[in-house]
Amino acid sequence: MSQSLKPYLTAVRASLTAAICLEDFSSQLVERHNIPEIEVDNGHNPELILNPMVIARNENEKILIEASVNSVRISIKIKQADEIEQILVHKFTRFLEARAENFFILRRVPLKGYDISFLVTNFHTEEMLKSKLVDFIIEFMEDVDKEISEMKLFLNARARVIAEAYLIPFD
Amino acid sequence: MSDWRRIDIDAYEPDKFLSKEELVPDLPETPYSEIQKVSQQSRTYLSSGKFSEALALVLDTPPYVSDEQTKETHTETVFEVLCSIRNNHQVGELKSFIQSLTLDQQDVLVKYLYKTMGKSYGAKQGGLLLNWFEKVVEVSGEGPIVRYLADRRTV
Repeated sequence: MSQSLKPYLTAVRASLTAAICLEDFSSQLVERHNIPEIEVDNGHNPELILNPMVIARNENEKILIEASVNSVRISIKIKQADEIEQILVHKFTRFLEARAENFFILRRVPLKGYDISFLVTNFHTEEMLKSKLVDFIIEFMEDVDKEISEMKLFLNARARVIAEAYLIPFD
Repeated sequence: MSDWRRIDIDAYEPDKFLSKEELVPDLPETPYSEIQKVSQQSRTYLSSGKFSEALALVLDTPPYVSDEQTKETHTETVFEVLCSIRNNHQVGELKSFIQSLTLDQQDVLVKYLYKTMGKSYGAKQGGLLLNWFEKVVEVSGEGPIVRYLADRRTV
Protein backbone atom coordinates (compact mmCIF):
# COMPACT_ATOMS: atom_id res chain seq x y z
CA MET A 1 0.00 0.00 0.00
CA SER A 2 1.43 3.37 -0.95
CA GLN A 3 2.61 5.85 1.63
CA SER A 4 -0.27 8.31 1.55
CA LEU A 5 -3.07 5.82 0.90
CA LYS A 6 -2.96 4.33 4.38
CA PRO A 7 -3.62 7.54 6.36
CA TYR A 8 -6.36 8.40 3.85
CA LEU A 9 -8.16 5.11 4.39
CA THR A 10 -7.66 5.28 8.16
CA ALA A 11 -9.24 8.72 8.20
CA VAL A 12 -12.15 7.55 6.06
CA ARG A 13 -12.67 4.47 8.22
CA ALA A 14 -12.70 6.48 11.46
CA SER A 15 -15.02 9.11 10.00
CA LEU A 16 -17.44 6.55 8.58
CA THR A 17 -17.55 4.60 11.82
CA ALA A 18 -18.39 7.81 13.64
CA ALA A 19 -20.95 8.96 11.07
CA ILE A 20 -22.88 5.70 10.64
CA CYS A 21 -24.76 5.92 13.90
CA LEU A 22 -28.36 6.04 12.76
CA GLU A 23 -31.83 5.59 14.17
CA ASP A 24 -35.33 5.35 12.78
CA PHE A 25 -36.74 8.82 12.39
CA SER A 26 -40.08 9.83 10.90
CA SER A 27 -40.37 12.99 8.90
CA GLN A 28 -41.25 16.03 10.95
CA LEU A 29 -42.84 17.82 8.03
CA VAL A 30 -44.93 15.18 6.25
CA GLU A 31 -47.08 12.87 8.28
CA ARG A 32 -46.49 9.10 7.93
CA HIS A 33 -43.42 9.64 5.82
CA ASN A 34 -40.03 8.21 6.64
CA ILE A 35 -37.42 9.64 4.30
CA PRO A 36 -33.63 9.93 4.48
CA GLU A 37 -33.28 13.37 6.02
CA ILE A 38 -30.04 14.09 4.18
CA GLU A 39 -31.86 13.81 0.84
CA VAL A 40 -34.66 16.28 1.49
CA ASP A 41 -34.40 20.02 1.48
CA ASN A 42 -34.18 20.67 5.19
CA GLY A 43 -34.74 24.39 5.34
CA HIS A 44 -37.15 23.89 8.22
CA ASN A 45 -35.25 21.24 10.20
CA PRO A 46 -31.60 22.22 10.12
CA GLU A 47 -31.09 20.44 13.45
CA LEU A 48 -31.39 17.04 11.73
CA ILE A 49 -28.33 17.55 9.56
CA LEU A 50 -24.88 17.13 11.09
CA ASN A 51 -21.71 18.90 10.01
CA PRO A 52 -20.38 17.56 6.70
CA MET A 53 -16.90 16.05 6.56
CA VAL A 54 -14.46 16.32 3.67
CA ILE A 55 -11.40 14.08 3.57
CA ALA A 56 -8.98 14.91 0.79
CA ARG A 57 -5.87 13.02 -0.27
CA ASN A 58 -5.14 15.56 -2.99
CA GLU A 59 -7.15 17.87 -5.24
CA ASN A 60 -8.62 15.11 -7.39
CA GLU A 61 -9.09 12.39 -4.82
CA LYS A 62 -11.48 13.14 -1.99
CA ILE A 63 -14.55 11.94 -0.15
CA LEU A 64 -17.49 13.86 1.26
CA ILE A 65 -19.46 12.37 4.15
CA GLU A 66 -22.74 14.08 5.02
CA ALA A 67 -24.47 12.68 8.07
CA SER A 68 -27.98 13.20 9.38
CA VAL A 69 -30.15 11.63 12.03
CA ASN A 70 -31.27 8.67 9.90
CA SER A 71 -29.01 8.60 6.86
CA VAL A 72 -25.47 9.16 5.69
CA ARG A 73 -24.51 10.18 2.18
CA ILE A 74 -20.98 9.29 1.09
CA SER A 75 -19.68 10.78 -2.15
CA ILE A 76 -16.35 9.72 -3.61
CA LYS A 77 -14.22 11.47 -6.18
CA ILE A 78 -12.05 8.86 -7.85
CA LYS A 79 -8.52 9.67 -8.98
CA GLN A 80 -8.44 10.75 -12.64
CA ALA A 81 -5.01 11.61 -13.93
CA ASP A 82 -5.77 12.01 -17.65
CA GLU A 83 -8.60 11.95 -20.18
CA ILE A 84 -8.57 8.18 -20.65
CA GLU A 85 -9.06 7.70 -16.91
CA GLN A 86 -11.87 10.23 -16.95
CA ILE A 87 -13.70 8.23 -19.61
CA LEU A 88 -13.02 4.94 -17.85
CA VAL A 89 -14.23 6.24 -14.49
CA HIS A 90 -17.33 7.68 -16.08
CA LYS A 91 -18.20 4.40 -17.85
CA PHE A 92 -17.37 2.31 -14.81
CA THR A 93 -19.46 4.29 -12.35
CA ARG A 94 -22.34 4.48 -14.81
CA PHE A 95 -22.22 0.70 -15.20
CA LEU A 96 -22.49 0.30 -11.43
CA GLU A 97 -25.19 2.94 -11.02
CA ALA A 98 -27.37 1.28 -13.65
CA ARG A 99 -27.37 -1.79 -11.39
CA ALA A 100 -27.76 0.17 -8.16
CA GLU A 101 -30.48 -2.05 -6.70
CA ASN A 102 -28.00 -4.94 -6.47
CA PHE A 103 -25.67 -2.91 -4.30
CA PHE A 104 -28.32 -1.75 -1.79
CA ILE A 105 -26.45 1.34 -0.60
CA LEU A 106 -25.45 2.71 -4.00
CA ARG A 107 -27.10 5.94 -5.07
CA ARG A 108 -28.31 6.13 -8.67
CA VAL A 109 -26.98 9.61 -9.28
CA PRO A 110 -23.71 10.88 -7.86
CA LEU A 111 -23.52 14.22 -6.12
CA LYS A 112 -22.34 17.08 -8.33
CA GLY A 113 -18.56 17.21 -8.45
CA TYR A 114 -18.16 13.60 -7.35
CA ASP A 115 -18.04 10.33 -9.28
CA ILE A 116 -20.06 7.96 -7.17
CA SER A 117 -22.34 8.31 -4.15
CA PHE A 118 -23.60 5.92 -1.51
CA LEU A 119 -26.62 6.42 0.71
CA VAL A 120 -26.73 4.48 3.97
CA THR A 121 -30.01 4.68 5.87
CA ASN A 122 -31.07 3.30 9.21
CA PHE A 123 -32.80 0.41 7.40
CA HIS A 124 -29.47 -0.70 5.99
CA THR A 125 -27.78 -0.58 9.38
CA GLU A 126 -30.64 -2.61 10.86
CA GLU A 127 -30.23 -5.34 8.24
CA MET A 128 -26.47 -5.30 7.84
CA LEU A 129 -23.49 -5.06 10.15
CA LYS A 130 -22.08 -1.56 10.44
CA SER A 131 -18.48 -2.76 10.40
CA LYS A 132 -19.13 -4.69 7.19
CA LEU A 133 -20.68 -1.62 5.57
CA VAL A 134 -17.60 0.42 6.42
CA ASP A 135 -15.37 -2.40 5.16
CA PHE A 136 -17.32 -2.51 1.90
CA ILE A 137 -16.79 1.18 1.21
CA ILE A 138 -13.10 1.04 2.12
CA GLU A 139 -12.64 -2.03 -0.08
CA PHE A 140 -14.45 -0.31 -2.91
CA MET A 141 -12.13 2.68 -2.66
CA GLU A 142 -9.09 0.41 -2.71
CA ASP A 143 -10.30 -1.72 -5.60
CA VAL A 144 -11.59 1.02 -7.84
CA ASP A 145 -8.13 2.58 -8.28
CA LYS A 146 -6.65 -0.82 -9.09
CA GLU A 147 -9.46 -1.59 -11.51
CA ILE A 148 -9.16 1.71 -13.35
CA SER A 149 -5.39 1.48 -13.81
CA GLU A 150 -5.77 -2.14 -14.94
CA MET A 151 -8.39 -1.16 -17.51
CA LYS A 152 -6.12 1.61 -18.73
CA LEU A 153 -3.28 -0.86 -19.28
CA PHE A 154 -5.59 -3.23 -21.16
CA LEU A 155 -6.81 -0.37 -23.28
CA ASN A 156 -3.30 0.67 -24.23
CA ALA A 157 -2.30 -2.93 -25.02
CA ARG A 158 -5.36 -3.39 -27.22
CA ALA A 159 -4.73 -0.11 -29.01
CA ARG A 160 -1.19 -1.23 -29.79
CA VAL A 161 -2.34 -4.60 -31.19
CA ILE A 162 -5.02 -2.92 -33.27
CA ALA A 163 -2.60 -0.37 -34.64
CA GLU A 164 -0.15 -3.11 -35.61
CA ALA A 165 -2.87 -5.17 -37.30
CA TYR A 166 -4.11 -2.12 -39.15
CA LEU A 167 -0.69 -1.19 -40.46
CA ILE A 168 0.29 -4.70 -41.68
CA PRO A 169 -1.02 -4.12 -45.28
CA PHE A 170 1.21 -1.06 -45.58
CA ASP A 171 4.29 -2.95 -44.45
CA MET B 1 -53.09 31.48 -7.24
CA SER B 2 -52.53 28.78 -9.84
CA ASP B 3 -49.65 27.19 -7.95
CA TRP B 4 -51.22 27.04 -4.50
CA ARG B 5 -50.14 23.44 -3.91
CA ARG B 6 -46.53 24.51 -3.88
CA ILE B 7 -46.94 27.16 -1.20
CA ASP B 8 -44.75 26.35 1.77
CA ILE B 9 -47.39 26.43 4.49
CA ASP B 10 -44.88 25.44 7.19
CA ALA B 11 -43.22 28.80 6.77
CA TYR B 12 -46.35 30.40 8.23
CA GLU B 13 -45.90 28.53 11.49
CA PRO B 14 -42.48 29.58 12.73
CA ASP B 15 -43.05 28.10 16.19
CA LYS B 16 -43.05 24.60 14.80
CA PHE B 17 -39.45 24.40 13.68
CA LEU B 18 -35.98 25.72 14.32
CA SER B 19 -34.32 28.11 11.94
CA LYS B 20 -30.62 28.10 11.11
CA GLU B 21 -30.09 31.23 13.18
CA GLU B 22 -31.42 29.52 16.29
CA LEU B 23 -28.77 26.84 15.99
CA VAL B 24 -25.93 29.34 16.28
CA PRO B 25 -24.58 28.96 19.82
CA ASP B 26 -25.06 31.75 22.32
CA LEU B 27 -21.48 32.94 22.57
CA PRO B 28 -19.87 36.39 22.40
CA GLU B 29 -18.79 37.38 18.92
CA THR B 30 -15.08 37.32 18.14
CA PRO B 31 -13.85 40.54 16.48
CA TYR B 32 -11.52 40.42 13.49
CA SER B 33 -8.80 42.41 15.25
CA GLU B 34 -8.44 39.73 17.92
CA ILE B 35 -7.92 37.01 15.31
CA GLN B 36 -5.31 39.15 13.60
CA LYS B 37 -3.48 39.52 16.89
CA VAL B 38 -3.55 35.75 17.38
CA SER B 39 -2.22 35.26 13.88
CA GLN B 40 0.71 37.61 14.49
CA GLN B 41 1.43 36.09 17.90
CA SER B 42 1.47 32.57 16.44
CA ARG B 43 3.90 33.67 13.74
CA THR B 44 6.23 35.08 16.39
CA TYR B 45 6.06 31.76 18.24
CA LEU B 46 6.77 29.82 15.08
CA SER B 47 9.74 31.95 14.09
CA SER B 48 11.26 31.51 17.54
CA GLY B 49 10.72 27.74 17.45
CA LYS B 50 7.97 27.54 20.09
CA PHE B 51 5.81 25.14 18.10
CA SER B 52 3.62 23.69 20.82
CA GLU B 53 2.87 27.18 22.20
CA ALA B 54 1.77 28.30 18.74
CA LEU B 55 -0.44 25.26 18.32
CA ALA B 56 -2.06 25.66 21.73
CA LEU B 57 -2.62 29.37 21.09
CA VAL B 58 -4.44 28.98 17.78
CA LEU B 59 -6.51 26.06 19.07
CA ASP B 60 -7.55 28.00 22.16
CA THR B 61 -9.01 30.92 20.23
CA PRO B 62 -11.38 29.60 17.56
CA PRO B 63 -13.89 32.23 16.38
CA TYR B 64 -17.15 30.29 16.81
CA VAL B 65 -19.48 33.23 16.30
CA SER B 66 -18.07 35.54 13.68
CA ASP B 67 -18.26 36.55 10.04
CA GLU B 68 -16.86 34.40 7.24
CA GLN B 69 -13.74 36.46 6.71
CA THR B 70 -12.64 36.17 10.34
CA LYS B 71 -13.21 32.43 10.33
CA GLU B 72 -11.31 32.09 7.08
CA THR B 73 -8.36 34.08 8.42
CA HIS B 74 -8.14 31.91 11.50
CA THR B 75 -8.38 28.73 9.40
CA GLU B 76 -5.40 29.90 7.38
CA THR B 77 -3.48 30.65 10.57
CA VAL B 78 -4.15 27.16 11.91
CA PHE B 79 -3.17 25.65 8.56
CA GLU B 80 0.09 27.60 8.62
CA VAL B 81 0.91 26.35 12.10
CA LEU B 82 0.13 22.74 11.18
CA CYS B 83 2.26 22.92 8.03
CA SER B 84 5.13 24.57 9.83
CA ILE B 85 5.14 21.95 12.60
CA ARG B 86 5.00 19.06 10.14
CA ASN B 87 7.75 20.55 7.97
CA ASN B 88 10.08 20.90 10.94
CA HIS B 89 9.42 17.52 12.54
CA GLN B 90 9.17 13.83 11.74
CA VAL B 91 5.74 12.19 11.42
CA GLY B 92 6.35 10.25 14.63
CA GLU B 93 6.84 13.45 16.61
CA LEU B 94 3.34 14.75 15.84
CA LYS B 95 1.97 12.32 18.39
CA SER B 96 3.72 14.04 21.28
CA PHE B 97 2.30 17.38 20.12
CA ILE B 98 -1.23 15.98 20.19
CA GLN B 99 -0.71 14.29 23.52
CA SER B 100 0.26 17.64 25.03
CA LEU B 101 -3.10 19.15 23.97
CA THR B 102 -6.17 19.15 26.18
CA LEU B 103 -9.33 17.34 25.06
CA ASP B 104 -10.98 20.60 23.98
CA GLN B 105 -7.96 21.57 21.93
CA GLN B 106 -8.00 18.17 20.24
CA ASP B 107 -11.67 18.67 19.31
CA VAL B 108 -10.86 22.05 17.79
CA LEU B 109 -7.92 20.53 15.94
CA VAL B 110 -10.20 17.94 14.33
CA LYS B 111 -12.65 20.68 13.33
CA TYR B 112 -9.90 22.59 11.58
CA LEU B 113 -8.51 19.45 9.94
CA TYR B 114 -11.88 18.76 8.34
CA LYS B 115 -12.34 22.37 7.37
CA THR B 116 -8.91 22.77 5.75
CA MET B 117 -9.27 19.50 3.86
CA GLY B 118 -12.38 20.98 2.27
CA LYS B 119 -10.43 24.01 1.00
CA SER B 120 -8.37 23.91 -2.18
CA TYR B 121 -5.13 24.88 -0.42
CA GLY B 122 -5.72 22.16 2.16
CA ALA B 123 -6.48 19.52 -0.49
CA LYS B 124 -3.09 20.26 -2.08
CA GLN B 125 -1.46 19.40 1.24
CA GLY B 126 -3.79 16.43 1.82
CA GLY B 127 -0.99 14.07 2.84
CA LEU B 128 0.21 16.43 5.54
CA LEU B 129 -3.24 16.95 7.02
CA LEU B 130 -3.94 13.22 6.88
CA ASN B 131 -0.76 12.59 8.90
CA TRP B 132 -2.15 14.89 11.58
CA PHE B 133 -5.54 13.26 11.40
CA GLU B 134 -4.14 9.75 11.73
CA LYS B 135 -2.23 10.74 14.86
CA VAL B 136 -5.28 12.38 16.45
CA VAL B 137 -7.29 9.20 15.91
CA GLU B 138 -4.41 7.16 17.34
CA VAL B 139 -4.25 9.31 20.46
CA SER B 140 -7.90 9.90 21.25
CA GLY B 141 -9.98 7.55 19.09
CA GLU B 142 -13.22 8.55 17.42
CA GLY B 143 -14.44 10.84 20.18
CA PRO B 144 -13.34 14.12 18.57
CA ILE B 145 -14.94 13.07 15.25
CA VAL B 146 -18.30 12.40 16.89
CA ARG B 147 -18.06 15.71 18.74
CA TYR B 148 -17.20 17.43 15.45
CA LEU B 149 -20.31 15.96 13.82
CA ALA B 150 -22.74 17.12 16.45
CA ASP B 151 -21.14 20.38 17.55
CA ARG B 152 -22.95 23.53 16.45
CA ARG B 153 -19.96 25.64 17.41
CA THR B 154 -18.59 25.50 13.89
CA VAL B 155 -15.27 26.99 12.98
